[in-house]
Amino acid sequence: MGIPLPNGKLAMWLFLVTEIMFFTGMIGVYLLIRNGQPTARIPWPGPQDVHLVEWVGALNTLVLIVSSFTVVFALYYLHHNKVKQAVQMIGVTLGLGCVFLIVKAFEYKSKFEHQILPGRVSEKLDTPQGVKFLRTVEAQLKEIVEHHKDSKAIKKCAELLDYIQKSPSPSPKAVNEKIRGTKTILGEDEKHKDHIDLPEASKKKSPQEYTKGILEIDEHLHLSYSIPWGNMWASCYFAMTGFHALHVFGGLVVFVVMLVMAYRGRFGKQHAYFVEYTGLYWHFVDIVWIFLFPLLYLV
Amino acid sequence: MDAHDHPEHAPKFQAYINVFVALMIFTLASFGAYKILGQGPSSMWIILAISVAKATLVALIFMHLKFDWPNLYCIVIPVCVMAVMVMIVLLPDIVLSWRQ
Repeated sequence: MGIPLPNGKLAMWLFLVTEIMFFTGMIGVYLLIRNGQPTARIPWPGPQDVHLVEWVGALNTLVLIVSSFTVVFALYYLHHNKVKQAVQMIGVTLGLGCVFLIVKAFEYKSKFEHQILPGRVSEKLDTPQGVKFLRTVEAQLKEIVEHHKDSKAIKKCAELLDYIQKSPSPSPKAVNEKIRGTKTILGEDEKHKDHIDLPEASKKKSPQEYTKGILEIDEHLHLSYSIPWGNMWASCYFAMTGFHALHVFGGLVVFVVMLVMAYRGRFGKQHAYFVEYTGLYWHFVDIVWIFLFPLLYLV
Repeated sequence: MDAHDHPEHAPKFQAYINVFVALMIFTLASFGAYKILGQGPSSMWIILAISVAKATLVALIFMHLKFDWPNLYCIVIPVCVMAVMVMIVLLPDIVLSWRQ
């Protein structure tokens, strides 16, 4: 006598518990990392620091929730022998999954454009990383000055490029400050006053003396800046969202298989199990995103 | 078809709709809490509690755990315990040692 469940459902649940281990391991380590070394003085990056748009994450959450609901719909229709409607619901689920991945692709593109990638983020500018940071920014500024002449911050970009190229020893910290602005780095309450990447002069500034950074004038420019813990953040972000996106893609492949079967007239009520087990997987992928969204975008 | 998988053993369709509406409201509520309270400890617990509630609803109703739990707890609970153990084992090295 075994567990009174169909073999397929038991097998899917055994697979899902391995997936629970996989994702809780990753999310758990992420929580430990962001609560370990980062401090109030040098905190873990916020969504704005790493070009994450909160409403985009919320939108993707809604997309996945609706797709979970359409899978439920599909199974409901199959149980009631309404195959055509069930196939339509599977098609809608496939479409919503694609929307999720497209939004994710745009988000990844933004990370690549801003060089927020593992091992590519400048963190401590008073180390040899600072020299590398200057070379990166110099190349980005040249590109902006040559090809983005209509930018509102073009004058400031030209000035900064001039400073990097003509100054005998340009300060990476001063360049970082000119890109982000002193207010962004220091914060309204000056909680980061002793920030590791600020030049000494900045630390004595009062709120009235904040200078506007290039990205505060034109946020669409592709300019790198110092992000404390940025490399670790990028590693966690790409590992968690990347594996999640792979799981979404895996689910979409199965939905395509179902649609091909329906197109060939080989899909019917007898495939309710197939839809149910795929649905279990799809709901699990939804649950993972339900946790990833707040942890990456809101908390 | 096995008796356990028959639709009569699944939630009523109205339950699916109720859960769907609740999930939409919860998502907007967590986003609203972030917008109103900002990023910080006050909003964190509200947002995480909402996430747990959302995940529970999906698992219980959409994944039919409410009905299959008597048959599945024996494989789900040990895994959840092990997942928490991973964090507890790593806690001293990754978090506590930096707090001293």
